[in-house]
Amino acid sequence: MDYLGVHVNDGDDAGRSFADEYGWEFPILSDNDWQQISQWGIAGHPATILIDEFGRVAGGFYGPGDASSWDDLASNLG
Amino acid sequence: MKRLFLLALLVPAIAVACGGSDGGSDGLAEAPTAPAAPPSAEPAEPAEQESSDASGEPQGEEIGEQRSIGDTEGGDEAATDPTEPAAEPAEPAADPAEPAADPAAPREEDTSRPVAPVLVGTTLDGEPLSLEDFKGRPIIVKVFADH
Repeated sequence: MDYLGVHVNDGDDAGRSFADEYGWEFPILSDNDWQQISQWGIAGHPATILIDEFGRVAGGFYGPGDASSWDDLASNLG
Repeated sequence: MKRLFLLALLVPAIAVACGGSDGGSDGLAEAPTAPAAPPSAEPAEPAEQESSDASGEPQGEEIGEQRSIGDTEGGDEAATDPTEPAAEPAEPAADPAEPAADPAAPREEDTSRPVAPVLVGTTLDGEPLSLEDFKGRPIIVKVFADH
């Protein structure tokens, strides 16, 4: 599964240090002013959104999520 | 006269009786009509077997062809009957193959899901990035901040 991060608030340096702290190696888009992600209807963070192979939103949740949150998300991929 | 008359009646009857057991010509003239059918049927069967042996290098295809040929030729009813029950079990054999093929087949697009909005810009490392780059495979988008 591929990951794409979208960092909001606080500038790129803060986002880079946060990603390094958690060992995230996937690409992270800089969106400090929420200009990009606000078009998705996302109004808070953290948020997780699943995009299917057809470029459609298959599900998502706010917060860090628990096991059931991820299971529900994975079930949307059939 | 009566004796002569009785003899005249008995002689042909005796002749018929003796001729049938001995294989006389008069007796065989009527009898062959019934046995004539089996000999004519017997050569027909080996003829079909020979044609099957000559035409059939791959056995499976040839068996199917022979059955279809037999049906089209209007052969014996006994020959058509075994082919029909053989064709029916072939259909349920194809049914279990379909559910096995479904998991392997690519998923169909769920058009009820909203299309993801455009997501394009630069990464924290300054590289250009677009959500379109990931199209064709599922992806998880993580929105985060450090506080």
